[in-house]
Amino acid sequence: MSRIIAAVDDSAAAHPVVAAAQLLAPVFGAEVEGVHVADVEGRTAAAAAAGFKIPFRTVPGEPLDVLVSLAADDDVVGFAIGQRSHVAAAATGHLALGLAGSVDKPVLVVPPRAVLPDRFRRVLIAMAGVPGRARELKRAIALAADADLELVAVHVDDESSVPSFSDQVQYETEAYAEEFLARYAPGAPGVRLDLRIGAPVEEILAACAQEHPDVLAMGWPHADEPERGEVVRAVLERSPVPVLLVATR
Amino acid sequence: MTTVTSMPDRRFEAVVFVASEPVEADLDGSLAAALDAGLAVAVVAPGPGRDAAVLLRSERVASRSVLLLASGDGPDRTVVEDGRVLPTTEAGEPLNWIRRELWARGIDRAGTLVLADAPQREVLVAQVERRRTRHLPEVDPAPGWGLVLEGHDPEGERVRATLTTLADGRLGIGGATVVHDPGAPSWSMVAGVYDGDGPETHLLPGPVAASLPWRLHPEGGVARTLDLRTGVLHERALTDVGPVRSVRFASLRRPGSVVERACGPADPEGPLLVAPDGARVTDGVGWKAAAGTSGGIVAAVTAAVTPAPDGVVLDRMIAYEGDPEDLPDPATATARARELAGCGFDLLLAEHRAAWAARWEDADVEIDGDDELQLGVRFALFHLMASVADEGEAAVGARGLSGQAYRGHVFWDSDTFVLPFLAATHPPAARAMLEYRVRRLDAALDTARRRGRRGARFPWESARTGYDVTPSSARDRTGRLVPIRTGLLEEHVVAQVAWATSCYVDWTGDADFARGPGLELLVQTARYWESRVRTDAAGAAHIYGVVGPDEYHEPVDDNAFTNVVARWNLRRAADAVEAADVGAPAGLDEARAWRHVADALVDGYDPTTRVYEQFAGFHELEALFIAEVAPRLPIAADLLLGRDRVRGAQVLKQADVLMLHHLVPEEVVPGSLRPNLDFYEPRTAHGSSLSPAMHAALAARAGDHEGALSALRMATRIDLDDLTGTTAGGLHLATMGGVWQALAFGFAGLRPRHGRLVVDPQLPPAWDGLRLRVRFHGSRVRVRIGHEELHLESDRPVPVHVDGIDAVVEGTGLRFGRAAEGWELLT
Repeated sequence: MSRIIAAVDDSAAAHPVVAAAQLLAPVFGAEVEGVHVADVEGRTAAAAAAGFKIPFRTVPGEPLDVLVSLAADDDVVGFAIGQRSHVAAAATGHLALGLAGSVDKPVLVVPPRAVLPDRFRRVLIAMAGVPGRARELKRAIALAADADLELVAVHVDDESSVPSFSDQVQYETEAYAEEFLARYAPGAPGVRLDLRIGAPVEEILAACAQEHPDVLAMGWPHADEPERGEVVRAVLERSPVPVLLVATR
Repeated sequence: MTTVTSMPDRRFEAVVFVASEPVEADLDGSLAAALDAGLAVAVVAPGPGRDAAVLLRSERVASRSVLLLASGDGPDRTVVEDGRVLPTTEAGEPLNWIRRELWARGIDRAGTLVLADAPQREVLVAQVERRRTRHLPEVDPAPGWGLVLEGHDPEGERVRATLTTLADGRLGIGGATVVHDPGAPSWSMVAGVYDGDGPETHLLPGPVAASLPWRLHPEGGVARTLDLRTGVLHERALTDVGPVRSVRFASLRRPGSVVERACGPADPEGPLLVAPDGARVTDGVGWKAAAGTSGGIVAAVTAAVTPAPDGVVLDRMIAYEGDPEDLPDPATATARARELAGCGFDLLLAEHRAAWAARWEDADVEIDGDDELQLGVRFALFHLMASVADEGEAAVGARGLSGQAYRGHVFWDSDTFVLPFLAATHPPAARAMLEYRVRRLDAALDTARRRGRRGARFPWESARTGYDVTPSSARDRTGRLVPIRTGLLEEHVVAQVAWATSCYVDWTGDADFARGPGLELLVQTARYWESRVRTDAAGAAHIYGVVGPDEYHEPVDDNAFTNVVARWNLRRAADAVEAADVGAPAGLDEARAWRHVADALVDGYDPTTRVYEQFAGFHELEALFIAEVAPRLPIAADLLLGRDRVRGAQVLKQADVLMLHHLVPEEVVPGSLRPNLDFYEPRTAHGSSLSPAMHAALAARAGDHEGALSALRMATRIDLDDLTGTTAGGLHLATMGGVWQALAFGFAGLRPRHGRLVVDPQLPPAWDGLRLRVRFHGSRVRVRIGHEELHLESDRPVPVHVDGIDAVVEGTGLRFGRAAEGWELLT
């Protein structure tokens, strides 16, 4: 059986992380294991795991190093982790982003006050920028489609990626959307595409408010492309729902 | 052609024997067999001309392939084709002559085996055997002729399938890989066969060849080469069961015929045809039919599977029948499929290859010094030629026969951008495009009548009926529902139909058309404009409430483009009526009235600035230089800035006033190109895919070589690099037509004018030369432009005008040399 690692700290954020991992597990056909990276077992972390009756262990070491090493296990198919770090000086989601940038497996980043449903039903897949970058989410789309989740894709162009050409508006959007879905959502015939132009962060959050997804999915670049992560960082900061980061290259 | 003494182990398309002895007497039927198998044969030997009659009798040569005989020691040349001895006047070095003759039939050096003193019978028998055992032709296109697409890109396969579309003017099929690839399904369509009504009218998808059942190997991929010279698509794919090679074409010689040969590891079995999704389908043994609202498409197939050393060879022939009004009889398609099978792959290939070569003979454009641009230009010309039928009527949609985007609707693109290339290179195709308009004249007359006008009001978007099929609203890229006003207001299309009519007549001199349906089109469009204008108290005529080519501003009054093309339309119609015989559809009094209206039409020209105001009030809008607010150009400024912002600013989607300098230069003030280019270019976002090619032409005329080249290069890359993100939905055919216009009208300065061909070159320093082939009034004209010399040739006398010099070119032609200011006649 494959595993989702619920990486919890010894804070109140542990509970929603485990809860979200439990919701994600059926998507992957996986079970959840709780992991707390610390020298001493944390009571809150352990209690969160116990509350959901999942296996739990405490592993000493540097959190990022430990989690990356866990990702090397073939049966680990994804992670759930809290949005906030207990390290006060760290930026929002620094551990989550570090993990997402280091492993090829999806990382679900859970806000501390996330309101979670009884199960994941609707996924909003958000992408910004030129279409070439959208392929990074193809995996997530395929995964969600296989799990029979309702899929909405929002693609936001900003000033830098506005199309060069747009001939007859009555066909251009139609032709672009058809090709976009054929390229990036070939296995998800029911996916709905929401095209937007504007500031990517604002438009993605606006789409989120409009569509009420249970999960937001976004691409996250590996360490060699840090400049591409600005939108994700900002969305993570403000997203009301868990954000599934999908590694990109 | 390299001469060798032993035969390489492969199939060739032509064999040339260079013999020191006369033609072998005892060929024992091998020559006839070789020609029957589609092999082209040439012989250079002492005195073959003297032996030709004997040879032909003994071999009973009656094939459609070609036999070339050249004397190695004299001027004798003999061409035998279609079983007939054809006259030839050419002499010169024998191998060069043979090379030219083979090239004219689509056979290049790589496909030609030249053997010195070889055993002729053995060679011929061996090549025939390769055809009998169904060897695939090799692919190695000549430089500048091959579009090579290596590897498999899951996200890009649909684009690649579009880039490698095979079409014959009637039928278009996608170039998706022949093996199973769910990401890029096959498709077919037939010109003019639509489904649905009103704005929902779209080209009907037809049945397609079933893909071979093997999947691409994850680490293998696929390599495709589209030979633009011959219209043949070669493919090598590595599948999960082994390599698969294939060769496909849509026969230009027999429109509606798809021919495929594939060599794979095993008998593919399974169905041969697949019906399109969602269509009303019927089928029978060996055929499938898709029915549209009124017509339909039938495809019938024959197939033969034969063993081969590395598996099997599948020969599949598909005959398509399409009819806009009635579902074709499957028996007709079935009979044609059998006929194709009877001809066999090799003869079909030979005749198809020759048909393409013949088209290129009158249409090629050669650029010396820019290989990438050369390929881009030929890619454009190839698809232009493939997209338009040359008999009956040709409904040429915005994406031609290469995709479903824009639903196959016919816009001004076809009349304005596509037709000129065909008028100047293959007039029957241009005539077929005009026939499409002629047959919908009644609908245009009815539309005008319903709007309280006279004459013909052609639609902005046209499909089967000739009534407007433009949607009234749509969602834009911001998700907003926006009204679409082009159907109501973009009326300059009326004048574009008249312009296309005149363009065809000016290039071809087709007097019958000019006196008949062409005159009717000019008269009815002029009547429309006469009834459309409003005259003010001062006697000035206006056209209120229109959309010009710059669709960012709507509606506007007195759009300079609309008013001037209407003025041109009125005057051209008056000219035609005044020159017509008794019985013309309009009288001289009406023609005089048109001239009066034309003279009264305002055009916004300011003699002080020498700039035409794009429409009334344009100069009062916010001055906005697009480069200062856009991160790059081109850019869709309406998406960048919003529709309201661009409507209130001096920012253009594409050339508007400047299109006048390109289309009707005789209607604008001489010398006004430069000031208008200076004024409008910085205000143009080029957000229309039509824009770069037009600006290339304009910049070339203005002597801005760098700007012209930059714009031309972009125009040639719009589909090759999928710059719109929509190429998978079809190729931008109007852009491709614009590419030719930039070269012919812009750089070469070719224009038909008053029965003469005007040549006024602007050769960029980056090029070493530019060569064009056109047909002018039935003559084949060759134009060779160099920096120091201009050379014109024609097979018949053609009046030309070069830099103030009137002359007649014929035969080996005229040479002009660069003079201190312009050109001077040398010979």
